[in-house]
Amino acid sequence: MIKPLLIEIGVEELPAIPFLKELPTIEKQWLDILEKKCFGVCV
Amino acid sequence: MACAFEFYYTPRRLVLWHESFPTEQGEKEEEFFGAPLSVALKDGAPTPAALGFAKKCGVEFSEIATAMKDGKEVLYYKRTIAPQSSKPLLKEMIEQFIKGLNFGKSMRWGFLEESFIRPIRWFGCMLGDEHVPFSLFGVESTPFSYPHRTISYEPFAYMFAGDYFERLAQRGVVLYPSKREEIILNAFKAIEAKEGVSIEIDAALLAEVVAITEYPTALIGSFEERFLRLPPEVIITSMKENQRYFPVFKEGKLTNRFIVVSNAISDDYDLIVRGNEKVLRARLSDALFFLDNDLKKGLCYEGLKDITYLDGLGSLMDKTEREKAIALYLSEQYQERLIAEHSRLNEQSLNALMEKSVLYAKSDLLSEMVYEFTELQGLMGYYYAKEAGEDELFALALKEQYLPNSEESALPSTLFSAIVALAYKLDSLIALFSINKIPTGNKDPYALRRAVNGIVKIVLEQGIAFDISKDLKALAQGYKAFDFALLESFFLERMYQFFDVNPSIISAVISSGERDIVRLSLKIQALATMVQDDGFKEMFSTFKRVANIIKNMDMNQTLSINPALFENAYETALFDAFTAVNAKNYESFEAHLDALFALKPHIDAFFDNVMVNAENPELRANRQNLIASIYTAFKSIADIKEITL
Repeated sequence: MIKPLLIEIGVEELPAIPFLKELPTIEKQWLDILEKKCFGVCV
Repeated sequence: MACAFEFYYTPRRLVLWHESFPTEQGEKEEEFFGAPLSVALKDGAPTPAALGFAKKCGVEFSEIATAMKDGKEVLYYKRTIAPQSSKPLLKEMIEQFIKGLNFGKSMRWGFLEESFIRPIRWFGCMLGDEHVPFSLFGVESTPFSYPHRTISYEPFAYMFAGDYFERLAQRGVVLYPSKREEIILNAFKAIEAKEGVSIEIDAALLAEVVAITEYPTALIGSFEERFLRLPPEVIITSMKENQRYFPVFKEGKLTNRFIVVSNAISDDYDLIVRGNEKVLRARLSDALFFLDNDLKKGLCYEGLKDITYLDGLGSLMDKTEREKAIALYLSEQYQERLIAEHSRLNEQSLNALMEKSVLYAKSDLLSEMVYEFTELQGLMGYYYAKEAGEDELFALALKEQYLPNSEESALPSTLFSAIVALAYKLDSLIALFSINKIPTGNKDPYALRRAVNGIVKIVLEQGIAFDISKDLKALAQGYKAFDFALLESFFLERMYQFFDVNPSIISAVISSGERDIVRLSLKIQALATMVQDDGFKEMFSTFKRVANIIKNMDMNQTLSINPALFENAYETALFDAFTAVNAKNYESFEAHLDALFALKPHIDAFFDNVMVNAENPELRANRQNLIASIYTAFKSIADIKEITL
């Protein structure tokens, strides 16, 4: 069975420059966790 | 597919959204490998190691199987883990996600041990219409979120995952970064059309502004025209770096207007504009004060002796003196062209101007403006030199001495400036090698790899002769003795990053002994073009054979060929063809390589009809020398035996 999933992490004013530096790896980070937990492998 | 998800961000929230997420994880298999059978069993009975392995797997020894691993039969156990419900797994996944993010610096808050880039204030996690409760970083997850700050500080509830987006949008938050960027760019267009101006869009600044707003509104403000007396770069730097404002131009000239992207939701945006104008006015007043003070003092370099460059390398004045020696060495090398390009200069005045340029090159580091805006180093020297009525070449050299300063950066526009820029980079490189500050692995704190790239770019752009071995060695004489081979190989290693070609081509050209940067580049390009040709692989096999035949020969001996010893027409034909190729002068390395590769039919015929390793030693040496001569001719461009296709 599938359902929509929403996760919101509320933070206090993210500083733009360090955040933008890390931005390209953020999605990969979540993908790796999904794979490790057997929620499907993204091709 | 579970992995299909979206990631959104604003300055106050990171959001992961799966339109379809499984309520149960997939089946999972775990494999365990234990000791080899020789260790696991003794007289057919399990040893303590084997029993320990079974215990680790949580089963009786009788359930343990064997498998082959690294050529040995070892204990093996595989178990299938029944799928678990997703809900309880989400806490661990979110925790791993947050802890896996590395923003460089992080902070701690409250009494927590954990840290993150900024304090975490709330969590929301909704699977379908079910709230997923957990506690992380001292915060309980709730089915609540927070609106835009201007709207309210009170949380609002949402009923199910998809409901969040609509409710958030109603409360003043544009969640999608792409949408915020679109809003900003559309507003820019509207301002440009209305005001008849153009807004300079710096992509990095735009990304920053998108990242710091939840509800962006672009506004136009202005500052007093008297500030336009400041160099445009000062105004732009002050606006961008300090305030994240976008500069506004009219007919290519900077105007006294600016664009600020506000995050506020307001009934009175004029108030916001006035506030920003006030802040900018203070900034520009400071800059004008620095400018006037600096102009009063004028450029002077004496203070450089009080600034330490690096431990072991003296002061900035010492660096300047070393750069001066390099610049004068290079200036002498390229003197003819320098004087031809600047006919008002003679040998004496050229040297005097070069010396002066290097002496004053770092003098703007002592100015108040560069102290405040370090990124304006060089540029302020240029403006101050111009104000003082100095020679344009001198002023330009001050401005361009740090170029190239990024991957896409412009290069020095004149050979004169190029020499000053080379002197700066060459000194940094040689001086740091001389005190053993050599980059290792991916650590390069003094950006010496970038310095080498800069040197190569400048030399190629200017098309000047610069020999990595000869010139670098001559310059290194002025420094504390060090292992020069390390510096030369560091320089040559950069060639593999610099040229986007088959690395074996670069090895082949380096092995030819070529060390002049321009000639290295031309040879690499000529060979790379040839290698890309469809028929090259087949043609190349012949020349690989040439290289293989002579691989055990002493190539330092004289390769004398006696045509009187030729026994058949194939030897003569190859010799004649090769002699003709060798007799010519070639306008390019491509043409020379073409002529050498055109020997292929003669070489093939020679190999088919002539026994190179003849019994008669005189005949054998004569034939080997003919083949070795062809190989040597190639080696004047590249060592063909290094090439792999």
